[in-house]
Amino acid sequence: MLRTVRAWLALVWISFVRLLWSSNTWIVLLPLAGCLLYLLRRRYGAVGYSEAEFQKFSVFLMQIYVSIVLPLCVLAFSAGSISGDREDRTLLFVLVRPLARPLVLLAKVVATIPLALGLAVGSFGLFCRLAGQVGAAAYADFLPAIILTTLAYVALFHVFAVAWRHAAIVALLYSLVFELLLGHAPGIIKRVAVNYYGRAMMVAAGQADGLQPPDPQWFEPLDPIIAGWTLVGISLASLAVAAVVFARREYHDLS
Amino acid sequence: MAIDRGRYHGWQGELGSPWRGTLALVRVSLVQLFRRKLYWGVLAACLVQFVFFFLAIYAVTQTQLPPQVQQRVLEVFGFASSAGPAAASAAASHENGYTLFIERQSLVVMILLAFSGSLLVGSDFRNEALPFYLSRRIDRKHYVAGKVLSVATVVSLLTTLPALILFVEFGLFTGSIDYWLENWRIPLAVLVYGSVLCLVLGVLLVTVSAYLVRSAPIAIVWSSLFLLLRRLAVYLHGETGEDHWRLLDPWFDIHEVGRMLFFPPTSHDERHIARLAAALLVVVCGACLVALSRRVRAVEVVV
Amino acid sequence: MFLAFEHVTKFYGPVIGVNDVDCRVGPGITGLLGANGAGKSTLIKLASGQLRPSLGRVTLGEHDAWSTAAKRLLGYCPDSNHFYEEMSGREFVGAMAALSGYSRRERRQRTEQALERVGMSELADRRLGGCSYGMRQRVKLAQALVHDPPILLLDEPLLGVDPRGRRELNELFSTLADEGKTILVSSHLLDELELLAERLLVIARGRLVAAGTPGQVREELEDQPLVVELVSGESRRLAALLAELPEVRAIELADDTLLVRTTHSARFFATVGELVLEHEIDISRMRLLDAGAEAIFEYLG
Repeated sequence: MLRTVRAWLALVWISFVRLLWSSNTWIVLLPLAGCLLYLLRRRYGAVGYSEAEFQKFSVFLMQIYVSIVLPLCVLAFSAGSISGDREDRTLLFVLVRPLARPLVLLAKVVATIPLALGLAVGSFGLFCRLAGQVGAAAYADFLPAIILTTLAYVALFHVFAVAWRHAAIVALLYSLVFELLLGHAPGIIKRVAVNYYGRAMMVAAGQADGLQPPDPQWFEPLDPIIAGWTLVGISLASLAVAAVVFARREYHDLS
Repeated sequence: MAIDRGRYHGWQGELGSPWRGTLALVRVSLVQLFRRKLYWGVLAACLVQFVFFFLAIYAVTQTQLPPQVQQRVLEVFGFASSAGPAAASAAASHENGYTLFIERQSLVVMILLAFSGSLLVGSDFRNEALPFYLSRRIDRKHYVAGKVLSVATVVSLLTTLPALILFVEFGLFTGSIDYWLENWRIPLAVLVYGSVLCLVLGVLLVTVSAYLVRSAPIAIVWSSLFLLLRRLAVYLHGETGEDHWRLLDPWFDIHEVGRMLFFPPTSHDERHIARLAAALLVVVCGACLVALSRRVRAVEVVV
Repeated sequence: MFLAFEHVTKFYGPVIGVNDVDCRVGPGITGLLGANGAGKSTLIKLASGQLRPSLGRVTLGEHDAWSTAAKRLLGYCPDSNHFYEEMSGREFVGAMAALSGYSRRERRQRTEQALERVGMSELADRRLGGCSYGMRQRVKLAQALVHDPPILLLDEPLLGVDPRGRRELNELFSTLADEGKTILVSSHLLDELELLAERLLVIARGRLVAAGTPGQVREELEDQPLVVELVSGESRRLAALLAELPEVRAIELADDTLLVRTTHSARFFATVGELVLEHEIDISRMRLLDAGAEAIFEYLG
């Protein structure tokens, strides 16, 4: 038992360090830099707090940050952890060690979370800081939604990572089709998108500051508690699916 | 001697130009791509738009739709101006349909190229296959040209070729060759537009893939360039009203240059923007080619 | 500790990778011999728990090869040349020791012991990305030995190693065998395995075709009559010449085609070559009709 715990912790540490020093960490700064440049130019809240500025900044966060940037940031680490090891043909060394496959997956997820969450919360905090008082209000209102959405993406992209070798491409396809297109479509279909629940939480939290949904004719409000628990449910269900798939799957391309 | 009895003799023909090696490289690269089932699935999904345009043209030319419905369909697909069929810009609107098709393919082209980059170029670097290529009679320029042509082929399959097919279809279903005679500029414009698209996307993708190698970083950078920058450019332009922010969007730059034959800029501002877009593309492609010349080598020194 | 394949079959869709292989590998060095595509890699992957058999069972001791318990008993040296390239050899072997659950002190000790055994102690601080093929091979061996497993699976362990290194590593394998370890070495080079292995398993087209000491395997295959098809315009003259060869058992003649049943295939083919040149006979086709033995002949001959 002690050896298993030690081995698991060692895998968490090794995976964390490799992800931290991988090229993905630097690459993911590119979309964040793009947003940073935009915010430096736009200067939301430069003349103080107003509901109109809060609305515009919130729309930017929902349509750009949560819908595009956040999935890209999470993709860098989640897709890179297991499917990156598969691409590098180093997953074999982990799978022949005396560590059960679900534990291997859990170690990879646990190693990914601090990086993905750190990047998401850190960049969100920085963007809100640049937006002055408007940003401060947004940070307080939207932080729980950002955290839960990030965790849901981490878990979901790990399902892609264990199922497909080119998980990054599948994750990208998913992000574009489900998150970007269907997630902003009219009707009930938008509920297939993770970011819908994140945005629902943000809209509900921002209402006190006068926030209106960006596309009111299509957006369907959802109770933030339900939205939050749905995100938690998506995370746990995705982890369970990933664990089952990973435990049973034979990989023919390990060496 | 036994070997003579085997009637063996050395190569007695003349070796062809190294550019034939480039064509062989294109063939091999395309086979690498089309061997994968996922690739076929993505490609099929990317041609859904083409199917919609095809059906729209068929509906307008072959079915007995009421005139206002016909007009609406043509407007939605860009083949007619909302000012009506008698508008002076009717001819221009027709060309607009083809440019609209190519523009609408931008998202799916982006996805497919994100996939292709890792397979076409990244795998060569990851699996250290460059020495195999560069130890032949081909040079680095032949290798790069081959890879760019491979990407160009993929892009053409989604943009240029379908647009030309739509042009042929339109003329075919109108029942006379007048359509083709009146609109002889369109295929030319499509080819030019397609060429600009192929060249710029090809050089960019080969450079990004050569440096990043793995699919996740390629997907992130590619999406950042063609999805995020596009949105940010729209936001900045909308918020500030300054035209030059549109140049941040690579699609906009490519479209400005590519559409010149369709819609030559008429105003001073439009010409200025188009020139800036062209200059930006030239600079970016030039920088990419310089970067490629440093990256594409048969030997990698590891310290 | 035994590695057992109990009537193991593995399908890859409609293709059979391994067909009803039944054998036990015990302490000592056993060579797994077969041409490329014969099924060696499939067997190795089944034994290392990368794949599950479609039929039958693979066990390490009492444990199913797919289980976690089996992996404690296993040291695997794959044939692939991929590592955590950013790590040094020492760091990599240390990481593998950590993944086996050792404490920091034990990890360090075992890492040094393993590197010492494979002769990489002095060079282990170099980054793996900058190491030669032979050095990387030794690091691979070290990570397989670091947790002192009773069963070792070595897939082409001497590939890329210089002759002196081969001697050193062969001595290491012999020492490990003397310690009672069960070692299965996979290779397609009979000469290499004959020097090293006490027992050979020969696999061809997914089937186990021979098992025994290297001498027994050679004899068994040499005595196995093969059917060779020869097509020639001068079939009668050729048949007359071949009938005089001591290893030829029977000849069937039909128009231009000869079906020759022969033993000692290597000698037969060499002799046929000399005969046709000496008597200037044209042969338009010569092939083994016994497909299973063809692959074996290629590397025995």
